[in-house]
Amino acid sequence: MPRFSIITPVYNPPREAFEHCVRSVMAQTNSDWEWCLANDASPDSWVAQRLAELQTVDSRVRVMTRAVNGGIVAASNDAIAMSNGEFLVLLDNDDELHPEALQFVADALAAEPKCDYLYSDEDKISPSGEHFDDFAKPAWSPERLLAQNYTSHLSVLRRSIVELVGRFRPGFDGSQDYDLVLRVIEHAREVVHVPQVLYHWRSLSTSTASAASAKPYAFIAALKSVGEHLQRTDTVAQVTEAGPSLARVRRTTRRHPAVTVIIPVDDAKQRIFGLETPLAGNIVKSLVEKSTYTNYTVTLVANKALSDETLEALAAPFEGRATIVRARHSGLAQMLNTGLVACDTKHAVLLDERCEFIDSDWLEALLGYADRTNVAAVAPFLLDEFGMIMSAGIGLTPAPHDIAAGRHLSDFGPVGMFAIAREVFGVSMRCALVDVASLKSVGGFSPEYSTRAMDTDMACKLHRAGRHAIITPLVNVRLLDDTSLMNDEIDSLTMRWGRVFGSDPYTRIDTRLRLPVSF
Amino acid sequence: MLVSNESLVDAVQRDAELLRLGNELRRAREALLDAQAQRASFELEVLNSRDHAVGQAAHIGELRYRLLKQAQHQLIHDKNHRDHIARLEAALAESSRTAAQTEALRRELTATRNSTTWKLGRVLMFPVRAVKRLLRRG
Repeated sequence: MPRFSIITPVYNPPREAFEHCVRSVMAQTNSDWEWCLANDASPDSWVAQRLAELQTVDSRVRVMTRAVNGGIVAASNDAIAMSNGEFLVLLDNDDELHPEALQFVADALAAEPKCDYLYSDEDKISPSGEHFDDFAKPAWSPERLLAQNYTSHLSVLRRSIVELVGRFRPGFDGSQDYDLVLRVIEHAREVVHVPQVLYHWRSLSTSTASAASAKPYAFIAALKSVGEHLQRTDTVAQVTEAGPSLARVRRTTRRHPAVTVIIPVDDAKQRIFGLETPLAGNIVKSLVEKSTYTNYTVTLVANKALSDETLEALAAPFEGRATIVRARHSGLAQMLNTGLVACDTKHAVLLDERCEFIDSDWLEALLGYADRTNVAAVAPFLLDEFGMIMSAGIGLTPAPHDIAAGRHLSDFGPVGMFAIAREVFGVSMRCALVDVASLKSVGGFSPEYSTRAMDTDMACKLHRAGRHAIITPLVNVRLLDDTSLMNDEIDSLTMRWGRVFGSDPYTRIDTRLRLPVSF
Repeated sequence: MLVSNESLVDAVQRDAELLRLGNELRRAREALLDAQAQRASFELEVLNSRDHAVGQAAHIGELRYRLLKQAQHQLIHDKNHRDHIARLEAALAESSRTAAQTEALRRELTATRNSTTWKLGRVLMFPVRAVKRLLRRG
């Protein structure tokens, strides 16, 4: 029994592209494979002849010919029916594998024997044969997979699980791979990412590689796949279109868990739209007026600058749901830690007094992600007064930075990553729903740092503890502050975490705004 | 309404007891609040200690990483250095070998020139050399 069965449905491919595909399979440095090709009644006579020839030349090539054209799903299932390998390797009839693709896959499987699904990076080949559009994919990101089929090619699936879920499903043509992957991950023990370009996707005028809009029916099928996946995993959610080939999943919380909103307050004032405004009063007003979720209590953590009368006035709008705690130590980290200590709910919202809510269902939307496995923090996009993004998460590559800072909300970013909910290395704790136990287990916020450095330190600590964060564009929060620079703290931060800078598993490209050198 | 002395005494005693219990309750509440504040304070200290421990572990990890990198760098440097020394030694050995060969050839040349055959040849070829010299002058 070979280790790998390469599955290729064949229907009238461009001849030259098919020959490249054949050469790429024959050139594999790992020889433990079989190639199962299903000819889906291709009208061009050369196809059947060439397949027969291949079968004669190499005994590892297995060909079946369908009597009538049945579409990609039927042909792929016929190819799977022929296969004997432990793993299925999906290859389209006009694409190419890297010569060492199977060897890299074999090495990765040897390192993680429980792996049931593996994916690699990919690039595209132009009609003139040039490679372009390298997609350096993130580490396993189940939330991102619901928004886009980012794993795509190369996909390697354990055959026993593919058989368990019933192979490809009719009715999902154009998005059949995505649908299969979504069903396989429901049973997969481990998912592995190989950060190497092992698949070259040929960009033809009709293929989904050339443009997201080339196959609209494929996207409709993709939305259906995501919806059914959520149903199967017992998740109540709405799936809508977020952009070209991008889905938006809005979960509905069945339970309405109690949440503590922790707000460190002081006597700071700021000019907001020309008016000198006390920030503490402003966030209280925003929270009361812009929250449709009702099962929350508020912990106001105050320093010594605020009088008892002021605090009582701040607590009054919450009608008995607010608790006042005096922080014994100064500094934002210690104030947040004091709030965490006083918190008796599983989840808490850490809220900077410089925030203002825009969406009224912000807490429901954030809570939708709270029960995802190993999620320690969920955060909204932070916007400035002019609607530009200040932070869409914290990235570490090439150095700690706020993802998408300076970009406009309408900018989808590379591979649409700014328009979707996804796993990120860390999030800004200016406004974040957190798992209180996770934060406590890593010692809360470090008093050594303030604001942005503190957030990066927390992200590193949580990542080290195997927890991750999610950023969601479903919620936008206005942040009336851009003063906290961490330049003076970067050395100290580097002394703790310098070795992990540049190795962000979720953002492998630099997402900072690059200003032109000259205008 | 008539109230017996006994009832009055009972009522006073009850009030006194209530007052005592009230005071005790207040003290217990204060003690509870103190204990809660103390607990919060301890819990904050635990958090800070945990952060310190995590931070120190991370710091040690960072130092270990840097040390390892430095050691790897040093190893590469040492290997390059050793390779360079080996190349110099090889060149030196080659140079010694060449010098020995040169010396052997020089000795052979001296021996040849001291031989009777060479000297006889020189004598015999003297007229030819003289003619050649004259032709060059002319």
